[in-house]
Amino acid sequence: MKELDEKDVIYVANLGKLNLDSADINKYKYQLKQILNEIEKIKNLDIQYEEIMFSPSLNKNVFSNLKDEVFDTKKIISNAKNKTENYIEVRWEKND
Amino acid sequence: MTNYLELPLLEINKKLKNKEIKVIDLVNECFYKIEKNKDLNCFITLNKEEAIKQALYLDNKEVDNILFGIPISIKDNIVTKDLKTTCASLMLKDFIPTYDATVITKIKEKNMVIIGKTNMDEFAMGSSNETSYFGSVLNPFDKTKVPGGSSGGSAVSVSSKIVPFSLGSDTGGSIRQPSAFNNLVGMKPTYGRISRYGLVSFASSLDQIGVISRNVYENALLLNVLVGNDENDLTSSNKEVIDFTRLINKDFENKKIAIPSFYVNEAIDKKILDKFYEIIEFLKSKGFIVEFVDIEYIENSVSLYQIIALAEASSNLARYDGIRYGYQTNKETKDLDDFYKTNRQEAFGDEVKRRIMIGSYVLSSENVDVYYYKALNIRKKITENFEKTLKEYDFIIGPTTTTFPYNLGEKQDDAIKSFFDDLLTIPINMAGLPSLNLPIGHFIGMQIISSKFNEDKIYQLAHFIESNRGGINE
Repeated sequence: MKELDEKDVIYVANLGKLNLDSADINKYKYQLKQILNEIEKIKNLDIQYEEIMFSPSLNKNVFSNLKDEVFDTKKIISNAKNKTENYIEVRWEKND
Repeated sequence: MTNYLELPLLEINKKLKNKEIKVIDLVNECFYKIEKNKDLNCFITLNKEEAIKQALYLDNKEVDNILFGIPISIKDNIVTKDLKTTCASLMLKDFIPTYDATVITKIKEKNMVIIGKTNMDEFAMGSSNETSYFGSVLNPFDKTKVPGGSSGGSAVSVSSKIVPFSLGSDTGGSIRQPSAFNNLVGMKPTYGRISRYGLVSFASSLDQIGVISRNVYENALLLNVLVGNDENDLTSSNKEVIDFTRLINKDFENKKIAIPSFYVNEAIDKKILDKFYEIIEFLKSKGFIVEFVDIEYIENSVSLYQIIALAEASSNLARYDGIRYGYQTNKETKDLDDFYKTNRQEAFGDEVKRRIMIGSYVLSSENVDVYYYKALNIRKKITENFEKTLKEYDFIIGPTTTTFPYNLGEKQDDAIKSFFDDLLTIPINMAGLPSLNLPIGHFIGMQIISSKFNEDKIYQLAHFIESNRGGINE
């Protein structure tokens, strides 16, 4: 396939929160396909490797360690003064 | 008009100390040259009034450091308090930040004078400076050619001798490639070496601020003041801050250099390779052991970049909806969603829109596993392969670009050319390594790469080559 379908272009534009006019759509049909063809190449790589790397930073992610012990939803909800199912009720104030 | 800014930094500093010249002389020289070189289009916003005010103030103060009173230009994606920061986009055409980036605070502490904000590819997306909303930047050596990008305006502000320094940013080669196209020294430091606080995000795991300068020594001097841990950037490093000039002119402890065989592939212009081979011969003649190695998967770096950088970009640029700040359409829209989409349609350029769409696509539903996580797998593997090589060798070297600067407009409709312009620089950002472009011929640069946080070693080798072969800017 040399080009994307019109509906595919509209679909990805929608994902990216972009309106496109018909001239844009025509242009991107080919251009997006050009980039996707390059991206597709990694599909063919046979890599038996489990580890991933989000960032080259050597800093320790302190938040990932806190995740289990701090963000226990049930525990947090149980401490709330007012609650509805899994939500904490708070007072809503409206400024007119 | 004077030409003090063409003197070596040490000499300018001496003249300032001896009161032979004033800071205001330097600042006036900059603005004279900007006017004279207006057609190059390398600045988006000038800081003329403030710069003159600061210069007059500094002329009554004692010169207390090597960078005192030295003019500098700043890429327009680094936020500057009360000075427009547009990212070369209609989206942020009138955006005035309320705070300074950490690097700006640091250069202000040294009393450097910010002359203006430089033109760039829109949101740093591009490699020719042709995607700017404010128009293309011209290469001062040949005005029919591109200056490279995305830090094209920064590079041109230095190569046209307006300022001795510029700050740029490098996500896939955006400091090194325009430095090569402008015969300049461009350093992309280790990821985390310099705080990214106040750098408008493009791809957060790849973006890095760095220095563009006329020669190696001056580059190291400016890097000295930019580095250090910053509590506003959780990825900034705690690593000890060192003097990056400390190994310059010192003997080498080890002299082993690797060249990935990918760095001499057939996509690279023969004249560039010939010049690079000359450097290899020179290094061998000086006792260096130079060997070819294979670094598995680096040939896949462009695909990885298109997935990882564009995924991060689509997320980072989601904040530009025209609600809190930025461009707002005058058109009538159906609802809030239509308002967002229309703002983005009208304010982003083609290159940015393409990248947002691809980034959104690779992060949607099952594509996360098919593309994104697989790319992160390969990124980890490439990084390990680089680290393994750098355990055995002190440096990795290779050409910076595959081509010479091409004609303006020549590749504008090609959606993938900007990625392939960075074929040799992207792998370094993937691994977060430091890399410097050293000019070795007209429009020809070589990269010197070392292990993380070994910028001092890179400067040592770069200065050794520069001083023994005659720096192209001397």
